[in-house]
Amino acid sequence: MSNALQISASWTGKMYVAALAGHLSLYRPDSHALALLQLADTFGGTTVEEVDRVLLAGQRRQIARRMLEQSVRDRALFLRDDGRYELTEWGRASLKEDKAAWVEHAEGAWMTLVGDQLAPLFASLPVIPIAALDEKADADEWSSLPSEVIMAGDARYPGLTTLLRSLATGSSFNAWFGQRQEKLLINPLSNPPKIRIREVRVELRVSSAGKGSWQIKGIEFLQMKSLAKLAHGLVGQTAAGVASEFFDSYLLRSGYAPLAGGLYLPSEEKLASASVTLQRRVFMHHLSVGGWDVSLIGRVGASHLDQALDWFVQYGLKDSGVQSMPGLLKEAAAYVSSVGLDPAGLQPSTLRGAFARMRPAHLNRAALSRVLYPLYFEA
Amino acid sequence: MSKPSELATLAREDAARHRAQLLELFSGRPNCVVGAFCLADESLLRELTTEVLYLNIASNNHQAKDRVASSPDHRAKLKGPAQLKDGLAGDAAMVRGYPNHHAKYWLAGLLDEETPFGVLFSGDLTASAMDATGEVANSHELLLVLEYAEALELRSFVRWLMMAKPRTEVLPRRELLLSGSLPRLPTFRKLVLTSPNKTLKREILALIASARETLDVTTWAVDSDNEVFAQLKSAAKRVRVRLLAHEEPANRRALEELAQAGAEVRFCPRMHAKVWLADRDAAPSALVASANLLADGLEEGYELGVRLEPGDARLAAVTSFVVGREAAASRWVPTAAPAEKVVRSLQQLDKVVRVAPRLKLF
Repeated sequence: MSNALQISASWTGKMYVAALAGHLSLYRPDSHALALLQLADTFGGTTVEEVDRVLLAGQRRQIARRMLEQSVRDRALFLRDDGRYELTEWGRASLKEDKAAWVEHAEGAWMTLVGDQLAPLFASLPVIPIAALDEKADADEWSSLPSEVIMAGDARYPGLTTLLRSLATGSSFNAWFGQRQEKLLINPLSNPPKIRIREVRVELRVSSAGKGSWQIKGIEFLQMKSLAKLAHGLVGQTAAGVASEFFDSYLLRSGYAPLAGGLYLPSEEKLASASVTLQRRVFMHHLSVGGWDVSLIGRVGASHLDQALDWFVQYGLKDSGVQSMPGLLKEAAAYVSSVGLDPAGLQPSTLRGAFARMRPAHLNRAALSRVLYPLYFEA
Repeated sequence: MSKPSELATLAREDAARHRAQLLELFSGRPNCVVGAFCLADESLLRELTTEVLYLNIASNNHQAKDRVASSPDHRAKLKGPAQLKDGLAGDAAMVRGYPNHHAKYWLAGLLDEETPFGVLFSGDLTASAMDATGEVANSHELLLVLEYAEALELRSFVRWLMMAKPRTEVLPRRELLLSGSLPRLPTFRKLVLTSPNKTLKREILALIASARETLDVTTWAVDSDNEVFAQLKSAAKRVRVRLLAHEEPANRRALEELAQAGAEVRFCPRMHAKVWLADRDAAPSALVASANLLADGLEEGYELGVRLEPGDARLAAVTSFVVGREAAASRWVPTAAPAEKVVRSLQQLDKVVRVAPRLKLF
């Protein structure tokens, strides 16, 4: 095993949440909305009466009307001058190709977590999830944003700009609901949409999963706990082929060479630099990028036993009181294993040699004296 | 009566010198061990820039009811395990307690591949022994730099002692009773010990027997219930015995016994060094040790000493130490007890009555 690192990164920063009033529709197969489109396709258009008679046994005329109006809002049908509802091109495509239709999910105030602040990390995820949340707390935290200005383009909110432009053209989004991802359509109640926005602190943990590919291992919203459901949706997602500016260029410039399998190889200078701390089995490096505080944590591999023992002495030792020689050897062996080597050749003499070469700077004199005791008096 | 101000000045000057000397001799050395009976003042050990430091002290020094009286520093607050854990053992030294550890030594070069360097310093880690700047009255201590062969033996002793299971590990706190077999005791030709081979008592007895003209003894404590005391009392009948002892009520009875046997007894407040010096004006030889003239230190416990044979250059300093204190301390003549006064008066009266007829007074 070399010094290649499987890097886990912990990011702490702020992301903003946008809220707007609108209808939310999901794209679902085997739904009453799909049956409505099939009916319109079969009869070359349809009416409230036909829907009521065929689909609702002639007893639900109001419901039939609402279903048709929803499909119009979802742009699957349009109302002809003669009062018949006919498939739009999109509705026809949905029916033929996807065998799915938009189904009204909810209406009211919608909150959208927009990932602009994640752009340095996940350039392809300007908009992460969209969810219906009843978040009335912290009303003072919210402020208004003029949607026209955002739609015209605002460098601070590129993701939100994309979102609003999509709303205007009726485009849908991919969003996570719990663990599943679905296509989702938003119909704002007003035109232009009224946008309110606030920031939330987020802690994000990702792990390198391949060259330019990083998997989200955890996300925690330190405010707006109701967003926790979104965390479930994000965990496990892989952002592939993104963020080359940071994960490739930045790391490369910082002395980390990307390897296959999501590993990175730190330069010798990086390993030896003061900004890098080897503590026990991890390699830690702190940096700031894109307004985020980032801690890179990687598992370290040693190339030979002496190197592993040098690291053990320098970083792996704990002040666990006076030990016996077997106890110290056991602790050293566990460390050697953790950095990818077989501890079979570990002897008191080799451990003593490491202490002759290195000193654990993190231990004070009392602790160092205790650690050395078995080597001095039992070896 | 003694002359306290002159003696106090001598003690104070030595305390300052000893502190500077120990700092200079041991700072920067890689592996050091300090042995003492008790610790009250951590400052010197903290000032040492040695990389690794072990401190061996007595595990039972805090259990003694008269612990204040047993310390040369009456104001000292001896540090127990709790204070040590929060203090020295937390960041500056590994501290171990051994039952009856009364040996006082400073050793650098603990490992076989290192050159050993050793000092016998009679002082404990107290302000009285090593702090000349405070208000505490200083004790009279002796510092003896060991020769290479002696330092080698000191290292053997320390390694032997520390390979044994300690009674107390201060951090983390452990109570480990001595059990199992100790490592094999090395052979000592220079150093003398009490536990486990009792060579210290044997060598003191030999030194007493070897004295031809004079015998000078300094001690902190003395009792009459031991073989060495008996031999010393006996020696007082054939050679000039001078004894400098700390002024302590507990010492009085034994000192009086010695004085009555013919020894010259002087009180030297806070005399803490233990020196046995024979024939100081002719062919001096000496034994410098940690043990008091008590059965406790001569029969049991970890005590350590070194014999200085005639011709040893260090004898000059030892003699100077003794002579300097002796000159400043007045001889003590015990006052007879009231009952004894009556007896003596009656004896005198009897003598007068018996002599009178011969004088034809009547």
